[in-house]
Amino acid sequence: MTPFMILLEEDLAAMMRSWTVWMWLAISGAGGLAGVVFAATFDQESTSFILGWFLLLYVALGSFMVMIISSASGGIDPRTLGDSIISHGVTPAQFVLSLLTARALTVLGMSLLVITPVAFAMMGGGLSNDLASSGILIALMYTGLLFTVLVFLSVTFSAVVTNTPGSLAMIYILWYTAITMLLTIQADGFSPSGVLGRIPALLQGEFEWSLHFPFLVALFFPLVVLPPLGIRMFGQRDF
Amino acid sequence: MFKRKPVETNNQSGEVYAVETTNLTKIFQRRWIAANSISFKIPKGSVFGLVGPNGAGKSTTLRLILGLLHPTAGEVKVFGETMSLSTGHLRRRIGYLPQGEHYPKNLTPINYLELVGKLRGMPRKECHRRISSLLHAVDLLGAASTRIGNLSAGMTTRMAIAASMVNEPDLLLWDEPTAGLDPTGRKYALDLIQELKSQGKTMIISTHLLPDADNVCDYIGVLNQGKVVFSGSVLEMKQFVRENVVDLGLAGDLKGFLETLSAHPQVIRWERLSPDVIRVNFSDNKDFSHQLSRLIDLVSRSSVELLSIRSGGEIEDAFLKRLEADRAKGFSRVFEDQPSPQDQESRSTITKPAYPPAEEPVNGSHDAAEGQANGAHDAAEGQANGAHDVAEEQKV
Repeated sequence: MTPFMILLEEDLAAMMRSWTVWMWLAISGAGGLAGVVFAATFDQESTSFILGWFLLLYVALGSFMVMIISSASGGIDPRTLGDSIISHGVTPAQFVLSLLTARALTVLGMSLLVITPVAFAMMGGGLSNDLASSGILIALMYTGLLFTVLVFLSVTFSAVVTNTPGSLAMIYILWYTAITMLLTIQADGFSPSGVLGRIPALLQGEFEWSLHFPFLVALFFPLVVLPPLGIRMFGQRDF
Repeated sequence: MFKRKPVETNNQSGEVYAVETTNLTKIFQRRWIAANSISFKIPKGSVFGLVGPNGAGKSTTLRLILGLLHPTAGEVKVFGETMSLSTGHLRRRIGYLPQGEHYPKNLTPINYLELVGKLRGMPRKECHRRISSLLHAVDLLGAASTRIGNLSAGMTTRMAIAASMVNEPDLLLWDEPTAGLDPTGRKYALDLIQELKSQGKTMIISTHLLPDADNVCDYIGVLNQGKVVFSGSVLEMKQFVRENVVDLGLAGDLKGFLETLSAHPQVIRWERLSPDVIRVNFSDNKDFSHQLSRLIDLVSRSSVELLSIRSGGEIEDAFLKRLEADRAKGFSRVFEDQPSPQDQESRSTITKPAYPPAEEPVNGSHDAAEGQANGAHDAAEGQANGAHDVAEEQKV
């Protein structure tokens, strides 16, 4: 096995042992269950509205956890990293790419494990169900993309800024500003349904390429740019 | 499909040194010069001791060799290839024992050694076999499943020694290998170095314990304030202080003995270092062993008891003398960085065998052959500090 695969395996194993991961999984699972029960008993609002709010809250609160999980990775004490990992023949590219992959897989697994059954359970049991399978899949894709971008950003920041609280603060400010701006752009007003904007329509299966293209480009761009940037910045550090 | 770049050679004979540093310099944050134009060549199969006071730059030099630090200037070649952070394949050929306890504290020694073995590309079965034998060798079988964070300093050092040898690397860089070890552990570590040396491994050992370096090293590099002030064989190092000096530990009527000593024709000077230790300087014109036997004879005839005898010329004295000599050079040290092309060739090159005949002077600017034999005690130094060195030679 290459050092990349070994580090990936080790990091995934470490993630499986992390109480932060299991705690978030338990909390979000409980939240999802409450959402399913709510959708099955509350007929005043459509299921797409309920799932839309669940997703919004999941992304807003989940981002917090994702940043904590990802920022702690590259921010390991440089001396420890150098002495116990890099000195055994690991290159910056192998280390950064294994971190990116392991953290992204953990976060995607964690979120899809909760959102997918919750969304389909809501579609199956919602009193005012208006969800479409295609809409749910697109929502899952967006959530996954958002979290992957966040993981890449956090790992890259932590590779550049060795001070973990510092990199966390920087990424918090950047991420929540971006999320707020994104919501504001697509919102129809400052009300429960207005804040959701076009999310319920998306969940109902409405999809227009022209509307989504800029968002997808904006999300894919960092996925292409951040890994080489992270490797480069990490490679310039002293250990 | 992909051809690796042919290994560069260092000289016309095609010999590749295990480690070759050229004007290696590291300045941290543009404030602190940790390594200052360090140049040396270490042949394969030799044990090189990096000695120097705390903060001299020993650990920095080792980390530069390993590629963990980016040099501000100069370069490091390991087995003929330029070392950098991205040359992982080269680092896998090096076993590194770092100073301090920078390990994943939540892992157990067995987990950590397994990770190291895997990272170094060892097959799983071979890795397990090697780990169990290493844990047994370093006496850590009992603590194999204890978290690293809960190990004592000595145990951590032993684990790190094992980690540095997991894949039987060609080159070992050990930073203070005897630090934190009890006397038995220290002895075992020194024995292990001897054993590895006999297996033909190349080793660079950083230590501030000069007797350790004296015991196991073929060559020594003395660092002071990031600068190599001496590089050569242990014998050469000691010859800097081959003065006719002995320290006698005595008990009994010292007053009477000192009066006798003052009247002794061969003793040119004595001083009392402590209530029971006297340093005796002989005159230079007689054979040292002859004068020493005369002195012991004198002691036996006096009403004093000889508790200990220690000859001058110990490695500690040589080390201190080198540091003192370096400081005494003052501003003239600036010229050490501008050697002539010929000097550059001979500078800091340790070739085997490096031991010059005992009667030959080892210091200063002598002929080219000696320049090679003397290693880093370079001709440049001789040129820049001729006067000082001549004075020192006269003492020798």
